[in-house]
Amino acid sequence: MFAPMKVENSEYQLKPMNCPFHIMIYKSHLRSYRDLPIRYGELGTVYRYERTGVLHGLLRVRGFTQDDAHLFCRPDQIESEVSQVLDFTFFILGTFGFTEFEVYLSTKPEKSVGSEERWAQATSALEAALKGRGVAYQIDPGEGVFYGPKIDIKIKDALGRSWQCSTIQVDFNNPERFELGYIGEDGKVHQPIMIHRALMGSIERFFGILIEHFGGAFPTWLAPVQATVMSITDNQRPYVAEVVTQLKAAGFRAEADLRNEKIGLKIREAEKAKVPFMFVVGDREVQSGTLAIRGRRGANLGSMTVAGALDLLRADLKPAGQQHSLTQ
Amino acid sequence: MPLAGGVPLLFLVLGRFDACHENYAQNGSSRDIPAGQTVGSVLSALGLTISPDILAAKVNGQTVDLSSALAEDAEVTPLQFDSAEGREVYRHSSTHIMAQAVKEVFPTAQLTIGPALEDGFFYDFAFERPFTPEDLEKIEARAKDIIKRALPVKRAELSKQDAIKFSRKRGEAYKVELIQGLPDGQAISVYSQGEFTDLCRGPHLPTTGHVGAFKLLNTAGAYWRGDERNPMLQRIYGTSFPTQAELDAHLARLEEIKRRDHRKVGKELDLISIQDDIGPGLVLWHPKGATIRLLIENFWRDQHIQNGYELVYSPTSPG
Repeated sequence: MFAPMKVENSEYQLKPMNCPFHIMIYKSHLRSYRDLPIRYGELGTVYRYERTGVLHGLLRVRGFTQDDAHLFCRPDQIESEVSQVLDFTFFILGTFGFTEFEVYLSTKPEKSVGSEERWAQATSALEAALKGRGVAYQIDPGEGVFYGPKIDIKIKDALGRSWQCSTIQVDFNNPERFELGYIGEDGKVHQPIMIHRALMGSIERFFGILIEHFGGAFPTWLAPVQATVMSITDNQRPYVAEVVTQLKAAGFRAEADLRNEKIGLKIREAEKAKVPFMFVVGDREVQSGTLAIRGRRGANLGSMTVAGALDLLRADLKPAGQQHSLTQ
Repeated sequence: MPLAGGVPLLFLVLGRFDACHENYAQNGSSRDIPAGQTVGSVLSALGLTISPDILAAKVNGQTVDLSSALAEDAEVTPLQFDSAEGREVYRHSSTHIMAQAVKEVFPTAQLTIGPALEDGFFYDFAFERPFTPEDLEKIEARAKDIIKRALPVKRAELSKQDAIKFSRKRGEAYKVELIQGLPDGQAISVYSQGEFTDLCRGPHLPTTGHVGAFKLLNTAGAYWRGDERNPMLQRIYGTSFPTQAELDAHLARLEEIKRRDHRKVGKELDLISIQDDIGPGLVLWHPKGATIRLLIENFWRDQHIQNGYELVYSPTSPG
């Protein structure tokens, strides 16, 4: 953590974690067993001190945004909550093209808080969730955090490298420390279980992994520019501008390249920028109301109308078929 | 222990070591073997060291040299390059070969430590200057020569005092320091190949000739014992594989990793930058990188809402 700073006789600190804030939101009301589970999610930016020598691009940084969530549930809900998180994790990571995982279940370490019974119950709930979902996993004996057992998920990238991203951690400590409670069916106060979880880990690190996984050639749904529309000569300027307007209106990220440069150079530059689609426009295309379409790796995709090009773009969005535009 | 003609026998169970060798691994079978024989000779008697592919063995769960003696009932698993343990022995011996080459080419270099890595190995030397690419060429050529010499690798044990004396005589001050840190009264193993000797736990390959393709990769500075108050050592990284084709495939993969390095691609595609004027470890997201981040975040938020999460904000979180 970074050193605290003094403001009006109080000590302030760069936020190193999101947990206490979510806990205080939970605590702001009296909770009933019927309210649980409660799941708070936040893309929470935190700052942690790391020695300069260990910093590495986006993979090891001092300021980062965790895709954090805290789940508050009854002890009997651990298994169903963790099952849901597992499904959710595989769905989210799968959407980014990661389909191979290594899963680890870490059990009670030497130094820990919480009774044997709670550890046993939570650990078997995690195991039951993994088994119920048919997930192959390895056990890391004694590698759990002091406050509870956890599941870690590593993803395999296109080069076969493993990266630790997701973590699902049961916490017995914070509910105790912050005196969290809920009114049970019996009318008495009970302590909820807290589950910390992150799917990507941090956006910075995940982005670094994504860049290397795709080698910068992002799939169409993530590409910052999805299509570049290029004129061969100045004659086609109005047509190119009109096509770009139509693409943008349909929610696509399109750019015009109207520079007075050779078409070969424009294509080379768009290829270097890893733009998924290049729409080339000459006099012939203007006359026939079409576009000459090139794919990212020099593939000639033939000639299409603007409507056809829109269909092509739509079909190339991510497998789930959801389009995530910036205007959503 | 059963006795046959006065010779103590031990019960040897061959473990499964590789599906495709199962036919001659006699999986699950057991044999009575006279005690005191080496692992290698036992395997050989069973017709298993027919090729130099067998690098070491796992005896009752512990990785050992083929030259180690079998003294008790044992489950023996021959190790080849296709196992993590086999690769570790292979790379560990490879780093000794590199160290021997360095000592032959630069006799004033001092030995420190040299472990196997997942995909290769390194060795840290105390030397007056960083090694240059030309130095690496010379060292690599010498290492290949040492491989060609197929020197037997021999293990010996010394007392702590003798190990200190031995290392002091050779001017290996770092080794002396390492040995001094070991518990008293414990025998210290040393491995020798030709004129080269290194303090080492082992295990190692039977000969330097067991290494196939060998390549030095790059150099780096590294502090002795990882402490920046200590002297800077010269680290050399390398890797080795049974065949040139495997080495070539590995080098091609390393090239691809370099080509895809997110710092390089992040700059080329104008996605992000990390600038000293802003501060190390603090990321600036340029418009194109920020576009991708926003798409990831939008997707993340939509999916969380659809999956029964409530989104919250707490101090310092951006919009």
